[in-house]
Amino acid sequence: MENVPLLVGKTKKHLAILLVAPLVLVSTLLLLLANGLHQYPLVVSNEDRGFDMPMAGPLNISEKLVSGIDRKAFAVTELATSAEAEALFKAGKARVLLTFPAELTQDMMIKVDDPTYVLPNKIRLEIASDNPLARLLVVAGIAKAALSTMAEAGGGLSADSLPVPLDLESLALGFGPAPGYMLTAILAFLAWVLTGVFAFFAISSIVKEGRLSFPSPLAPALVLVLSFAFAGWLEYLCLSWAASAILGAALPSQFFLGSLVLLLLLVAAAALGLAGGLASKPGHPSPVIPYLILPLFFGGFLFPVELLPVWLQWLPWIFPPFYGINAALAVELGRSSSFLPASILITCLLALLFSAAFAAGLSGRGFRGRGHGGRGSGGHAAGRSGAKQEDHAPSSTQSEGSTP
Amino acid sequence: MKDRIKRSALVAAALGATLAALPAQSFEGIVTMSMASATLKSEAIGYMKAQGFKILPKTETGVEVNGVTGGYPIIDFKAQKFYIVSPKDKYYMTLPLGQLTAPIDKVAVKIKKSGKSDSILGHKVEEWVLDDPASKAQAGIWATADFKPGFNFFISLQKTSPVEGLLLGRMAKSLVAQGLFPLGAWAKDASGATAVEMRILSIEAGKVADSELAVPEGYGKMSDALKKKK
Repeated sequence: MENVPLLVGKTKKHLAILLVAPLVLVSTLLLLLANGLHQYPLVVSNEDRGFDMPMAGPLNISEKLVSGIDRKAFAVTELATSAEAEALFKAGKARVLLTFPAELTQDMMIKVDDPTYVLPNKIRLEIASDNPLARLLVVAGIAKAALSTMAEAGGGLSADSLPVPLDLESLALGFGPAPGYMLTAILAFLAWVLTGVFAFFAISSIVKEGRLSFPSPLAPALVLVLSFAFAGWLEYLCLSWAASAILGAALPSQFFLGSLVLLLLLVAAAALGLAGGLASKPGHPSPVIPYLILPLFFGGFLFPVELLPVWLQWLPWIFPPFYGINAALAVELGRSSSFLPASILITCLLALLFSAAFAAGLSGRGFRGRGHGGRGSGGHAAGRSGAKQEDHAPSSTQSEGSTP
Repeated sequence: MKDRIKRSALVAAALGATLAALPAQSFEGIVTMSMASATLKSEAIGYMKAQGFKILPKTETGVEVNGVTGGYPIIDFKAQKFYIVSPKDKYYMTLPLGQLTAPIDKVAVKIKKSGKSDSILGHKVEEWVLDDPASKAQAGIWATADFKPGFNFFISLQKTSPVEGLLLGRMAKSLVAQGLFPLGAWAKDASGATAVEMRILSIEAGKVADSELAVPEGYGKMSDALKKKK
């Protein structure tokens, strides 16, 4: 482990980083995520004609509920008809669809008078996200608006003094269960991290032991990248099936097809880990490891992107899993999206880019023999030379003197 | 919607009922009253009987609140129902009475005499007051021991004003429990401005027919009427 250039080396400074980093990360997460959704795109159509209530005059419950939606949490687009709203929702320009039928208020008043009455037309709420946390927060946001409507209708006293049956029966939730979303999301992320980290450490070890000898950089680059990616993919399959059997959770119907999309991401992970491991110096923090791990929090698949402040909602875009894992999950769950082809394409491009970087490193142009020796005319020669020097060197102090 | 509900309940605003067990000599008769708040200015006739209470607006079509006219309330204490009757549509809506009583029953208030006494309609009244530290509102009720109320007819004053009206409802509950009949009330908000005023303009003891406290013949349930229209 002493030669592994993880986040920490042997110095007190690096030890301090190891201790402080989690605290900083957790504090940052709390600050960023603690305020709920930010501008989650919602489209609403209110066709409710209201009701002229005896002794009260015109009453429109839907109007009140819409006005009670938190405009900080939701970016609300109001359209005249449910058809228009649905079109916008299906185009992917809104993640939440909320429609109110024409006779909702009147039906609710009928229900007040006759509690056995079954509401024929309900509030329709559809959420595009498969992410359970996103769904929960959206439903909570709408429920909050409904509760405030009820409290207001009760004269600001309490919800139980109001005879408006704004309960679950009045709500038609338009999403079905997304079986295994969290399971596959977490396992996909685990595969991404393990593939990248394992490749990172492995190449470090290979370089150190001087076992890097290939006639040309392209062949080993392909072999190594594909080997690690394939290993990660097998691990993902095994873990998914094992977890499914142990937890009794059904795997999505298109699981295998989705896993092939994930394989593209794992190629990117392997190439990134290999390139990072090749370029890192012992005893120095490598940005590759945090780059592999941070998407767990900021990648947009575990926590919805809209939990971040608006000015930070671009952050997931810099992490490959944002494209790869979301694309794989969309395929697995059979969700069509206009962003799916673009996500797959970007994942492919990233895989090629990282692989090229790794190949370039092997060719010697960017290769640093584990902090020694420099640029050789051939990668294998440089690797050997570097490894030999390191075997006799007490690591970090010598590495600082080396010239990339 | 707050206004809407306020209006309906407002009209109900004289309705009430914390049904303490009715003493045999509970007041039965007819009162006229005036009510005023930010949202309501109305005069109405109240029919009181041990088991029921009706507020009939002085217009034929209903109490007028902020330009909205229509309907009047009946409370059936025995059945624990609250009816909103619409003469225009010839139907009525039924609500559980508990929805009106719950906010008042939730909190018991401690009221005290201010030491002031007066005469309203020839009856000796004493002023009872309450300072609410939470809202910084003040409320007072002039009550007489000459009549024994069967129920808290201030129950819906809470709807005239969510804070001050509610305080009056809670105060009246305490007075009714002591056998005192409210003949006047006032409440001021935190700024000292008058938020609610209520006054009994006339009070006449006498027999009230049961039919006065029932939904008129030929009126149907609102839900049935609306379902038919669909």
